[in-house]
Amino acid sequence: MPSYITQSEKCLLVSGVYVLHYMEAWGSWEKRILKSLNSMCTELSIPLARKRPVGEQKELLNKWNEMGTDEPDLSLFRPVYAPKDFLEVLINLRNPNYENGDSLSFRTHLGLIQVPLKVKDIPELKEFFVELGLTTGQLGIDDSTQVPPELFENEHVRIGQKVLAEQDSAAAQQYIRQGSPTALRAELWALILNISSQPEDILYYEQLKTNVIQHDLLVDSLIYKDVKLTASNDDYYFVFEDYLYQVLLCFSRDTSVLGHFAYNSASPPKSYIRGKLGLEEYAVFYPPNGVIPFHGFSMYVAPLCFLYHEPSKLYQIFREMYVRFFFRLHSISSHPSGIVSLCLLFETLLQTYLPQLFYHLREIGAQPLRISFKWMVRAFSGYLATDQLLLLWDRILGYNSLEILAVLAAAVFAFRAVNLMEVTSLAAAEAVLADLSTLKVMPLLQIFLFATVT
Amino acid sequence: MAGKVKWVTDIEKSVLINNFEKRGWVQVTENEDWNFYWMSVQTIRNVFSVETGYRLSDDQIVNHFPNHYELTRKDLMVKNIKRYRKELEKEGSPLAEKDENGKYLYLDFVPVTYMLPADYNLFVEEFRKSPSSTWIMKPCGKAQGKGIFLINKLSQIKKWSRDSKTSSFVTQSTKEAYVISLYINNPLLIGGRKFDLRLYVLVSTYRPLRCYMYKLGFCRFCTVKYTPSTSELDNMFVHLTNVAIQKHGEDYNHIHGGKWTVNNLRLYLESTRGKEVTGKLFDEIHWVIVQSLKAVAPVMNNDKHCFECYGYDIIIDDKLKPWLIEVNASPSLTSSTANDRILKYNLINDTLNIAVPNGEIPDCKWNKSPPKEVLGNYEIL
Repeated sequence: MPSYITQSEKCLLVSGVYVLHYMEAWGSWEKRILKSLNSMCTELSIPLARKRPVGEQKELLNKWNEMGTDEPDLSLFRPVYAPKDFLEVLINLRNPNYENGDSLSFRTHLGLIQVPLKVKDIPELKEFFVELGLTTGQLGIDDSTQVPPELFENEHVRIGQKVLAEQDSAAAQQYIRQGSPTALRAELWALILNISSQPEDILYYEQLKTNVIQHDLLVDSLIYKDVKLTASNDDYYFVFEDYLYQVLLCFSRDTSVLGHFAYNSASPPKSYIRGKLGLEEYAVFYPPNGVIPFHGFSMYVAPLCFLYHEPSKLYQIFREMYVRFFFRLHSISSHPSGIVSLCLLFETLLQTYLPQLFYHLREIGAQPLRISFKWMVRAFSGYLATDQLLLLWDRILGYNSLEILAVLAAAVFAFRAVNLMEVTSLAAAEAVLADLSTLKVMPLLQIFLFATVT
Repeated sequence: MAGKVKWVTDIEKSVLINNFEKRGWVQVTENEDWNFYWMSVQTIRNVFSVETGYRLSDDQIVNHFPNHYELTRKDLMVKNIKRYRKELEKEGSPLAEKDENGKYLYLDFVPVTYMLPADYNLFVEEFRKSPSSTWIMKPCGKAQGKGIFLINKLSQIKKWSRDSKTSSFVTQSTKEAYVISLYINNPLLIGGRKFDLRLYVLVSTYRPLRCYMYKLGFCRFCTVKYTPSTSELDNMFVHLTNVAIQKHGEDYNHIHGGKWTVNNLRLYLESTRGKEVTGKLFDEIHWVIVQSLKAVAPVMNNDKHCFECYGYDIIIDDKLKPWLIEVNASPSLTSSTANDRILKYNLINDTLNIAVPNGEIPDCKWNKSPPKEVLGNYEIL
């Protein structure tokens, strides 16, 4: 039985001068997380993994559809880390090489991120997100009740149905840039993500479920705690609490997720069978999927419950969304959709196009990234109204990029700029931006990208 | 002379009082000259009772119709709807069309219901047709889920049998009267949970019928997973969605209060079931509300001094058919969460805007046709 975890070797698949340095920063962050997990394990005298006695297995199987009613004592568990801890790590990423030509202009960057990655400016964003322009119809704008549906909505729905009928994944991805009709969204996302729910997929999910029934993992308690702290208290998602356990407990045992580490510059934490530390043949990944959940992790799954109510389908969709997109939001890399690039993109947009606001907030000790970071790490889940969130995630799929999160974050600041200019503390700035539930995402994005004089 | 509206209430709720105060209205006692009285149902009984001979003047408005119980008492509601259906059938109206099993196609929106002890024998006949069915017993005159229980065996309601040795004329009084309805054991479940819909409907006059539905209704979820299993029949947390009952369950959450907005419901249904069937469901819900009001309109005392805001309780089954469970004359104005408080405050605000135009001293002779701008979150049914 694995008794403690150590770091594994790094895979340096990201090219570039700063890779080694990122790896160091990531390495020490990983060490910290693992240390935290190990000490929780020791303090609470709970093994990382154990086989359940038969009686307990039976009980869990009976309760499978209502694990939310279980009230295990979670008071001693704490989330391994929260987004703000991760932000501190990113802030401390430093470029040791200041002589590089690129960083000359970078010296004037006054944000928190000090890594000179290349990010798009507004002209480049306008080109990249051309379908969001003012002259193109959008769901989220042109389907509002005041607009007659003949002008855009009806035709758009018709095209969507055609795309689905032809099962054309590439066409679906192009189509969804203008938003998905609510009735077609579940199928369109499945088409774009290439999820088809074959019998073998359902069987695979059932096998994961069996794994959950038979073995108890320490991370299970972390998952329970996270769901209880976040989704259970959410106005939109509390209803789906039980589905979240059914997805996340299986997810942590899914070794196929390890595959994404091939293109992720992070590496999965490894554990060694007791007494065999360092001997590779006794190494296992812990948790089996290599992903340690953090505070708010369950919010990646929650919005999907509005679309899929069949557990194995819900599971497949979430897993694919994770290995394509979400993992980039909590690992360090130089990828344009990685969280570091998103933070830098956000700060650069603000500093370049809203300089007065940016300087003012800096002056009062309210660095904008400190407020927007948590939005981006969660892909805005739990901050926006669900219908708006789904329109946003439509575009993530359509453009195969998370950059829209940074653009939206900047657009939100632009929208509330007048109020923000009047605040005099970080707390007051947080208050102005505390409630995003009334925001309409598409108009904000459109105005910021296409209607602001730059 | 434009004086300030003088108001009285015997329901001490902040959502009401804040609305009166923000209009600059003046609080008075019921013995003084008042223009607007937000009454409890007990008070309305006294005001319009034959003994007191109360006469309201043209500048006085109250928030209940004198015989609202034709709609809001469970037994009378069913009686009126049954009568309405038979009348339509007699006229040969297409609305009263039936299918090959004798079920009304368009007017079957109340679960099969009998009065006890009056219809005991009829009920037994029906019960024996499907002996594995579950029925729900509800006291006619109570609210908030009080006194409700489920049965699946005749022995559980022997007390109400007309031949029972324990029966006497006392049990025939309105206090002990119950209705027994076929329990909807295939409710639509979301996240494995049962829920019902609470919708607010404002009626300003019954003849002609002018009614408005509040767009911001909500779903009330049970905290415990739904199971039709017989062993759980006694567990009220599984079956009853009244907040008054759910509030005492272990898992009740005070942040969201186990409530969803109707918009959330709509988004979920459109995403998982499709737009057409969802649209059809909501159209049917409007239809049910209007039909229920039409059913009682002929017997309602359409007093020009009255308006009323009802709380409609509707359950949706897994075939997306809405069922009218009951109508409340005094929907709760207590707030269980912050969102709730805001919703109820706005509800009262929009209600007052329609019932008391411009917030000025009312004139009961007005035509009760408010301009579109004041509707707020109400939509015309």
